[in-house]
Amino acid sequence: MDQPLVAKTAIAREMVSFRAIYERWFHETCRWLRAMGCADSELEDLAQEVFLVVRRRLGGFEGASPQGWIYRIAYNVARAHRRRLWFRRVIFLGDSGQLEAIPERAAGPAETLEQREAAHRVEAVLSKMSAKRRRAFYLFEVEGYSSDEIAQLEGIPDATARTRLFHARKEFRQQLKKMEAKR
Amino acid sequence: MKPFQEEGDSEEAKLLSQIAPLARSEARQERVWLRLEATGPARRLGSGFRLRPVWAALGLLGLTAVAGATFGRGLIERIFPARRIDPMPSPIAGSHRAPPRTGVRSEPTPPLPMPLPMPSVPAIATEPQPPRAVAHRPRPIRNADPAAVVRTAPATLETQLLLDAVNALRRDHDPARAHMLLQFHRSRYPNGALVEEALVLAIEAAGDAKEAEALRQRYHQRYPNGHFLPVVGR
Repeated sequence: MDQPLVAKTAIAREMVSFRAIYERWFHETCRWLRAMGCADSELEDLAQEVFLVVRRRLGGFEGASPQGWIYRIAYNVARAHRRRLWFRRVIFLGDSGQLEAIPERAAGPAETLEQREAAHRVEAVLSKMSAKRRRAFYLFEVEGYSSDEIAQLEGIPDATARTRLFHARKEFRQQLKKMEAKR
Repeated sequence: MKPFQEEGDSEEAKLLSQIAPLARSEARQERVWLRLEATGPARRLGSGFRLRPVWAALGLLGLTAVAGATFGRGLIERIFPARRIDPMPSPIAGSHRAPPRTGVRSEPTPPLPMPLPMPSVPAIATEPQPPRAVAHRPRPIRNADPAAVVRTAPATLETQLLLDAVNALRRDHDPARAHMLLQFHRSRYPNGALVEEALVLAIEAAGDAKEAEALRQRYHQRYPNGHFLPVVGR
């Protein structure tokens, strides 16, 4: 077999593999990005960024499960994105560049308003948490992940994930009470 | 451990029930796939070095800081040469004592508040000044060609020229050089901002009483309400 044909075959195999990975993990990646604090309006851009990295590094990936690997890439992309937002906010004095997310389940204006209000309150509470607790809390409470799955994603022992969740829920409750008292 | 929403009718449960989990969207998935395809085939960069923008920015910032610290001061001094002028002792009144001046002034300059003694007073009131910690003492430009001085610092030139004349007269006791500098000033700045001051200095630098008197008359004609009438004499 001549060399170009080998190369073409390898690329074709990789493309098939990448498509399979994309199909399997795209939606999960969007959920993770959301749990990492990315706005709904930015999910597509960030997911694209994640899968660009995935495609570029797929040849060198030798792990058993791509889940943790893609999660780590998503984490790095989200962190870089947050940093960019922070710079933008500092430079343009408060303009974070984020569009307000519109809840997808909205049936009417009243429900939309209610959901938006709830989203703002949850975001206000979560913004006071550490990034680790926030991720664990959001994945568990909103996206419906179990503590085992969270431990697997984060690459931490199950007990650590449970402890993190316990403290995150406690903090959420306290912060919410504080916020209610101020209103 | 159960999520809040399964635990009961708490405030947390109510609030979180309003936040929906991300719905699966085939349209979104397809859109991103098309965008990925549009970006071209996978680049095989392997584990090659990639410079992150943040590190590039920090490196650039550091280089700028180092370059600024190294060359900036010298450059600023070259552009704006700071000249330290010795305060001139005033033989007539303490209130006329000029404060030492540093830095740069742009033209037009206000009249010099320099001491202007009477022409008849001998210039021997100069006390030896205690040594001061002056980082950049101006180099005396005696025996220098006045035309060469013109090229050094245009913004402060007229002021500097007159101050050099004052120094020549008072510090170096060299009225001939002072005279030469004042003549140069007259030719270079016939309508300068410090013509009045130059005339007063010329009175002091005059070689004989007749010349001094002529200059004094000229001063009275040109500046009947001049600032230096108390110095020149009525």
